[in-house]
Amino acid sequence: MNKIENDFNSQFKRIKESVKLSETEMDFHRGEVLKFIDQKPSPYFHKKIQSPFYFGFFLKKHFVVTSLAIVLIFSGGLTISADNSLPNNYLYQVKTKITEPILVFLTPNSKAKASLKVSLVERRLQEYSQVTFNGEILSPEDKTSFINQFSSQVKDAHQGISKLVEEENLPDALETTNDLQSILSAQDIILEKIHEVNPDAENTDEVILVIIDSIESTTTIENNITETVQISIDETDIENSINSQKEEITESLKNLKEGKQLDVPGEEGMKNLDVVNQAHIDSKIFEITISLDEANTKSENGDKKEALEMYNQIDQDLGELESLIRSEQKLEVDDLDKSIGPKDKINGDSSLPIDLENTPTQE
Amino acid sequence: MSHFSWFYVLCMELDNNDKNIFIENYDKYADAIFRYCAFRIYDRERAKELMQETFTKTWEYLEKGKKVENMKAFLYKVAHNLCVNEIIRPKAFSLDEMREKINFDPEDKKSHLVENEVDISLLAKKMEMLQPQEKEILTMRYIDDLAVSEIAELLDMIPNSVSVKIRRAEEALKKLYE
Repeated sequence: MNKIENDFNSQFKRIKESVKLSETEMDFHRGEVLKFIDQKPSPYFHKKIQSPFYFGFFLKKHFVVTSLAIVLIFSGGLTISADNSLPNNYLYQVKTKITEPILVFLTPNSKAKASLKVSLVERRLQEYSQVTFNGEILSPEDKTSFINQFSSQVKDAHQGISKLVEEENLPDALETTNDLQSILSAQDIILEKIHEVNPDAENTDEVILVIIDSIESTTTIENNITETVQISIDETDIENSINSQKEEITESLKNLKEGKQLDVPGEEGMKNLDVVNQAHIDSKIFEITISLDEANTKSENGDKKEALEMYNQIDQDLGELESLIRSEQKLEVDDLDKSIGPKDKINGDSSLPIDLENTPTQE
Repeated sequence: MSHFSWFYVLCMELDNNDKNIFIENYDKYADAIFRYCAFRIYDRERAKELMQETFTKTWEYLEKGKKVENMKAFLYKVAHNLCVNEIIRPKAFSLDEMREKINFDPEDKKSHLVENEVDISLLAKKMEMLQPQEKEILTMRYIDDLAVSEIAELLDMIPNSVSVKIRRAEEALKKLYE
């Protein structure tokens, strides 16, 4: 290997600079283009000006969506009920087909849109976990509809990430991909765990297969983004990606260490669904701290590419842990009566609305 | 002045603005479009004609009232289509051809270092040995200075695939040096 590797760009640049138009050539062809333009009318002559008296003038996309949003906001009851609905509820379609798409549409920038789409993937899986954990069985139609909805939501999230890549916002694209990856693997663990605890629960095999497919496709996207960052000619790309990862890792570690997740299911909750507990979190934090030190050392020694891969892995591990904690909280494992299992809970009070966003107070 | 005259003056004003904007784009991209054509058809005179045709075709397109959101990408797309129609030579990036046809001279006038001259000649020769798609993608990236997203738009690919292909082409080029 010779100096081409180091001087790749500059040699191409010199080739490039050798081929250019002279000033005379440039002027001559400008004159020719101008002559051509003078023979043709301006593009503006052919532009149609929409009459303000035309009804369609008012029916712009924004207008339609905003009106719909207003109607939904004023018919608040329906929206709130739909917001809490699960895949076996008739209002579920209102949530997934109307309120959430409006929310995505109204979200201002690509980064926020991509993050929201990833959150919706997590929400879908949490809803499914809730149904399964409750011991309810989805009808084949509801299940097919759920799987389709979930797959399209993952695709949407991938598109959101691709949009960030197109905008060359690689650090955020990588961060969002890591979040999606963490969520998918955490939910995979949760569903398997529910089955261990309650073998009679809904058969989750089909959904797990879709999750595994989604993990694979997300991994491909993640690898491509990481490669893009690593081969980037602009060194600031890799630097920015590392800094963005570091920032998120520091924030997550701080949250975990400061005990913001104190309502993690304790020993009692473990009786029902032992997905995460404080000992598990402590040991994971310990492992992550060691890996983080190693990644920092690599980064300081200039091995940025390997450091980036390590930060990615750490970010995903932390994300998975956070998603597990969030999901277990939502399943309200620690709120369950110690003497009854998940199945008994349904028999006890399955008619209560399940609030995925706000944990109901224990009676 | 009658209403018609006011309308006429307004249209003329808009017409002049259009021309000015379009000529600004010519000044900005003519050289790059010329280079794009030159590195694909290896005929300097023809490349100049194609560059001019790129701009006249773009104006014709605008004249039909159609919208162009990204002028740079659009110009490259037109140039690309014109070059594809023109392609007669499957073998591209021949150093000798480049010397003869597009006045490319590896001897940098600013630097007389023999080492540099050898490096560039060698690079051109190695490029000649790459697969057509590898050559195309490296030319777009390094000679046309196009961003990954712009190459993706031109080749109808997703940016991630373009990045991977650039990396593979670079690796193929590096292997030729081993």
